[in-house]
Amino acid sequence: MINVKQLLSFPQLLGLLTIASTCPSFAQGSPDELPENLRLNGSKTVLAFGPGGEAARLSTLVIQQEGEIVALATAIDPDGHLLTKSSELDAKGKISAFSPSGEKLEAAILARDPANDLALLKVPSGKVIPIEWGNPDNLSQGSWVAAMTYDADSLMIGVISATRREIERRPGVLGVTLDPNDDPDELGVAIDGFGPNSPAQKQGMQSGDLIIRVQSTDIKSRRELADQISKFDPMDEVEIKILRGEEGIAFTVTLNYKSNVFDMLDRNQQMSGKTSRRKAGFSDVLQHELPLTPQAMGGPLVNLQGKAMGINIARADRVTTFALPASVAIKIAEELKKQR
Amino acid sequence: MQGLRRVSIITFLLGISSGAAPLTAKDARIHPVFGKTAPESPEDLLGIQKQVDSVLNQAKQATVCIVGNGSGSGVIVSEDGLVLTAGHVSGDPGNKVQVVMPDGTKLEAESLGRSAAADSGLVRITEKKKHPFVDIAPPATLFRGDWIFAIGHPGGFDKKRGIVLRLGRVIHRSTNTIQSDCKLIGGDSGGPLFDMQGRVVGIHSRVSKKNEQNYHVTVRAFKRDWYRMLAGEVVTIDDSYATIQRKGGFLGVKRIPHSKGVQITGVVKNSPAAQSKLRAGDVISRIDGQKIESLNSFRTLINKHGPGDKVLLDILKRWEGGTKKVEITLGNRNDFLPAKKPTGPGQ
Repeated sequence: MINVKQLLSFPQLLGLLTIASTCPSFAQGSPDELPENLRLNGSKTVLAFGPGGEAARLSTLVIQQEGEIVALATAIDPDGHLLTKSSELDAKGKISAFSPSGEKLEAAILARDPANDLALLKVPSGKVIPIEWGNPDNLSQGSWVAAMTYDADSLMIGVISATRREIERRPGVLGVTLDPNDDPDELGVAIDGFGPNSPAQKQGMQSGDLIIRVQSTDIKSRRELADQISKFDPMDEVEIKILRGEEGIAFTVTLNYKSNVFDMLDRNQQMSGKTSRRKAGFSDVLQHELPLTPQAMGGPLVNLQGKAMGINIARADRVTTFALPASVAIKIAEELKKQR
Repeated sequence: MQGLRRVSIITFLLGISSGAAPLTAKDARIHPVFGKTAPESPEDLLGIQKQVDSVLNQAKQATVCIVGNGSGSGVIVSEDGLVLTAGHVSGDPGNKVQVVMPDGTKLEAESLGRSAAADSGLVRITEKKKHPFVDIAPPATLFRGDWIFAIGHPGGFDKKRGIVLRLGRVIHRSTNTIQSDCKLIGGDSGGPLFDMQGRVVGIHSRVSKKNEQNYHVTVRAFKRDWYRMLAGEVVTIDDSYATIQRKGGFLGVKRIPHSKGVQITGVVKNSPAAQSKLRAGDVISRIDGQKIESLNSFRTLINKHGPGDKVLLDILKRWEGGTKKVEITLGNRNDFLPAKKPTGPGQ
């Protein structure tokens, strides 16, 4: 692993794989370019996936909340049980699922599994075509896979791109740097500065503010602050109390990933477009290269035979999408059904 | 003598005249998908998958992470540890950098020269041992639409994740740059792009916003500045193009592959070819009695001769019909094609 601190000390790092704003030698749509329909995700190439792609389409539903597409879902049985990505669904707000034929179905959240970020939904029975599960143990790096785009309008194809593994939980951060000379016995820790994309600064915290409380815990040292904050995940809302001079102020800060706030992946985030809010902390994932949008998570990832290898669970960056393997999805679905 | 020796070194390092034939569907071992404009069935897709699988392991063994100015990627191309990477990864010549092998072994290395014009760069592993390596494809063997794959260490070295694979096609190719839909990100810089035979055809350099805007330095650009980079020079945009030394004799035909040799698609005005009345449509089937197997073998056979040398060509005459033997005295390339002034990237 690369030491993040080491990375931070090299500003040149940001020059790696520079973003070309324009590339004069490649006029867009020039006749010298390979026609779009022949590219990896061109219409003609994608057709070659054949019946396997059709299987993905038939078992993928589009999930809407308040008129917005928030995720896809995978039909897992004829009774109308669906699996989707939990963190994209609001706690309240009516959920609709659109079947491949365009039929609008009322959907309810039956249960959630925060560990794997799955939610079990239910639509009326007899309305969906369940996916057939396959065995992802037979996949290797370079195996073809496919999944539907966020509006379920077309198929995307690509390959398994890296080793199946655990993606460690990444704790949330406030995006502050702290005064190193702080007295660990006195109440409060002084803010020294902010990361380039700091959620604390966004809420109005200032350099010199003294952080005295996180939720209901008093903070005396930098260590204590780090311990308290790292209990939370990115996108969690945390109550922070500060002292500014004599005045006590309460903030609610939505934590972020360290990578989004501080290091090189910030640049990589720029190259990546929108990524999933929850993209780490999975015990077992497949990694593939399909450039899906965050709203396209929750749908099935199929192999060339149309068997579900897993369920797409996070768009992580420009080159990375994670899917929960079929074995995990099946097990969680059974547990969630029992919880009911 | 100096000239001759240099040519042979290029042959060794860059594999210009390696006997490997280009991958075409005519070869029975090769899946028919590679002769199609696009795959048409799951079987075709499987053909691509199997081809990649047959060369992926060796490609990965030679692919490294380079830690110096941050973290990039690279690929070992000789047993003694010469590494191709991007110029913005190797950085200033003489820099101490670390090369991380796929298993995590860290090796001391030193940056050599780079080209600011093309973003090519060289690094040499200083620890003496036999390193796994891959071949570099001969220049001009990669075409628009060819299937390719990219590997590297996006975001830095991660042992559990390993080297990351991306598959795609050549969208555009110019002298310096390949555009592909193999998606890249920070940390991939300097990593290798491979053809379906597992030969290096490019080095990852930069991206634009779209998933289909990923740019790689061609091996042609590496070859052009090879000796100056080996000598630890930084090649700028201005001097990159001006001093190309072309030693081979000059015939003066544009050509495309043909089942019986190479077919002429254009003739340079006043060139030896024009004076000998070669015309577009004619097919050159043999040079000095040797059969032409590919564009590359044509080039190699011509380049054996210097300006003023005579060559004997077998020509299938497109318009007159029949075969004709023509003896032609090769000219000096620089008399016909003055070195190009730079119009380089980023301007």
